[in-house]
Amino acid sequence: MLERLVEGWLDSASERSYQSPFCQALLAKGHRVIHSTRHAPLELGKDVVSIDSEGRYFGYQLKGSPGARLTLTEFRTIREQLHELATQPLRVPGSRVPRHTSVLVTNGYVDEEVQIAIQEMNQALRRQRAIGYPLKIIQRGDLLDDFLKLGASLWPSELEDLDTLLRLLNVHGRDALNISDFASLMEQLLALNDSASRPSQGELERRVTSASLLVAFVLRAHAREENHVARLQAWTLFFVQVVGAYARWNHKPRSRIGAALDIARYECFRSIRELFEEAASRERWIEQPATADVFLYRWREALTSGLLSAYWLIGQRAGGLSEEDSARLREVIPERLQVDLWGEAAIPQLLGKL
Amino acid sequence: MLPDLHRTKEDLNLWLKAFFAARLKTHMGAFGESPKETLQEGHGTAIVRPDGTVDRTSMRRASGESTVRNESIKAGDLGAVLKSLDEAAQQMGRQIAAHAYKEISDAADRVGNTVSTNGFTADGFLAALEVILVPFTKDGEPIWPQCHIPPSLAESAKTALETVANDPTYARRFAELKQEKRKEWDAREAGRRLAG
Repeated sequence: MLERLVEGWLDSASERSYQSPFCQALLAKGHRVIHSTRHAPLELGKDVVSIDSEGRYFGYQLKGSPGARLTLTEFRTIREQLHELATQPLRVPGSRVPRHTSVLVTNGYVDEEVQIAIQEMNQALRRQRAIGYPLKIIQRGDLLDDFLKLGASLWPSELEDLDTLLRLLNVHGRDALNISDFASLMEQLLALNDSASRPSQGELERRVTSASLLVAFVLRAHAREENHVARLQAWTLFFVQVVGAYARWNHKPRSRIGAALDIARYECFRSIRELFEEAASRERWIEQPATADVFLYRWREALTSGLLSAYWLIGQRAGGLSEEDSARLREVIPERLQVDLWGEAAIPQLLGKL
Repeated sequence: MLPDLHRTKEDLNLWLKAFFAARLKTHMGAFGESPKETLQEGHGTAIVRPDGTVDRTSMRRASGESTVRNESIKAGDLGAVLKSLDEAAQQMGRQIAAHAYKEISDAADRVGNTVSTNGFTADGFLAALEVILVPFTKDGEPIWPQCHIPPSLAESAKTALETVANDPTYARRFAELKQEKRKEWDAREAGRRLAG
């Protein structure tokens, strides 16, 4: 059943949705992920860059073709990007410019005609001794194998857990994350519940990978709606619970776990950044249907302001926020909040704003 | 998207819709109490009369429009939202009631059940009762029809009804009319054929 669920998720995931699980899978296979971002001009055509355990470099270009085929027509539209991927060197610290293997990753099937076109492209790349030769393909079946082996095979599978999992999946993407259900699954997976026995270092590492895939899986509906806050909540909870699990069992996190947490941290910042961009682009923060929003507007305003204030504060302390962003944030966050102290959860939001 | 609570909002929206429906019922006046039926398909209804004639009623659009200011939503001003919904319900309710009165008036004209009087008089009231069918309960009590009067005729209607109740001549005429209606009803019931 879990296999079918994961298959369903992969067949509906955009490239953004499966980028983090893909990176986590690379980590589990012994790679170091040295770059993972989207639309950054610094790494031409490369969404992800990794180094395997033998020191070989890989540059990946991710494409979302959920449940569909990558046809020759579509391939022609990305051919230029793939050429950049295979011919532009990686920018890595140090003077050496490493050769790399280029990889086209898609969650769809690759048409035979495309495979032939890639073979021809590879012949040309070999002749010109391109720095990113050869160009390889990772497609739906490969991704599914990895996600099942590294992720779903460790997920809790008792009837009660499946019930919780289905409840988490059966939500509207515009709804908040069901934190209680989500935390309960993660606690089991990361051996944080009362009845858990001590996992070995390796076992806990495998569980962290599996948990990170669960995060992406559970966020399926929220990803479709670009629900930034649900994504932020899930990755924050993942981060805290992984740290908690290592503290509880007194294991020292190795670099692989540090990298997994880095990806989670990156997802948190990406979510809050996107929330900021959306809040800044909107003339009003009212969500439809507007009449029912009369009950929720102040809650949304307090929560959004609190999160953006936290983002500003972290940016000030860590120095990662540009002057321009800092000024824009000050403009976006309402100067005066209409305070609705609807419960204790509202207090941090209001304090954040203060 | 900015933070939202889809399911909670659906519930809240249902509550607002129920409020709107309740206000619409109020603004439809007496028609708010009439039985309602949802038409699952088609474009209207038809009544087949005992004499074989078919009375068709087509669908009519009723609409209302009102505005809620963004500032009211931001301020959490539920009163403003409810007032706006009430305004729209009032516009729709009036349209539905006006349409229903027109349909009744047209139907009465078609079968010659229209009684013209100069204002609301005791004679006019009795003349109107004469041309309509009055059903009776099993206990023999008449089920009198509802009387809808525009506000401008309220005073004269009150005087006319007092006259029918208190004036011996009119009271006698009314009692006779009641007996006549009973006979009409009994004859109608006796002449009914069972279906099948």
